[in-house]
Amino acid sequence: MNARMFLACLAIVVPVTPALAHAFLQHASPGAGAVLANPPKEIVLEFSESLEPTFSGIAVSDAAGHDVAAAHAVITGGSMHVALNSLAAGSYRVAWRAVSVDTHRTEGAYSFTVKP
Amino acid sequence: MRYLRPFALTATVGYAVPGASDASRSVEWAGALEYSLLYLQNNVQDQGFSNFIAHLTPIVEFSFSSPVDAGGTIGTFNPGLIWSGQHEQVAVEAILPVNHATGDNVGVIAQLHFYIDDLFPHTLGTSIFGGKP
Repeated sequence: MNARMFLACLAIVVPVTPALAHAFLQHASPGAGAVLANPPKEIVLEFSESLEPTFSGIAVSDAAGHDVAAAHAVITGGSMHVALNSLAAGSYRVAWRAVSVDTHRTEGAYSFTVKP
Repeated sequence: MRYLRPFALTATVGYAVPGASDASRSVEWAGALEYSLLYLQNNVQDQGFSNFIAHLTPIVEFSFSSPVDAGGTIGTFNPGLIWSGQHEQVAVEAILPVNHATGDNVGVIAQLHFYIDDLFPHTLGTSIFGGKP
């Protein structure tokens, strides 16, 4: 069987369905390692795929591990954002988990700093 | 130090027993050292990379064979670059022999991988037995 015939057979046996994938983080604000003069009011994360809100979320904590989010994360399509309490100077950690609508799971974490 | 975090090292070691009696047994050892720009961008320090650049991974693969009975080690270093997308991966690597016993020519290898389970999640990407994902 030559390559052309193999591809033709594959096209017959595999029905076309929408392609799905892992949700990769494409943009974060503030970004990883950012050093900010003014404390951010929210964390915004943009992903490459639409997210399943029930299983996706963001946790933001200070250096002591205390939660500094002012509310639950709001998830719309492929974006997540969470409002923050008024942040003092210091280092903060953002931990996110994203489950795309086809149930692939990704997660990550990064830090940013608010200058005194 | 934090800029070392995107490094990943994988390795494998095996013992090869050939079927032919006149061939030497050998220790096969190989691995890869990678540096994920995506991890650097998203987890260590935002570099402002474009989406294309962020999905690049510089890599050095190595593959060696060390005969147990006779002969010296042969193998190659393969420095290259991988681009990982949502549904496919493209890689280009040079093939550099480590010594004259391996060879004197430099080669190149290019690979194109498709993520079949992502491209066809409800057919080839689903369980053979059991329910739908």
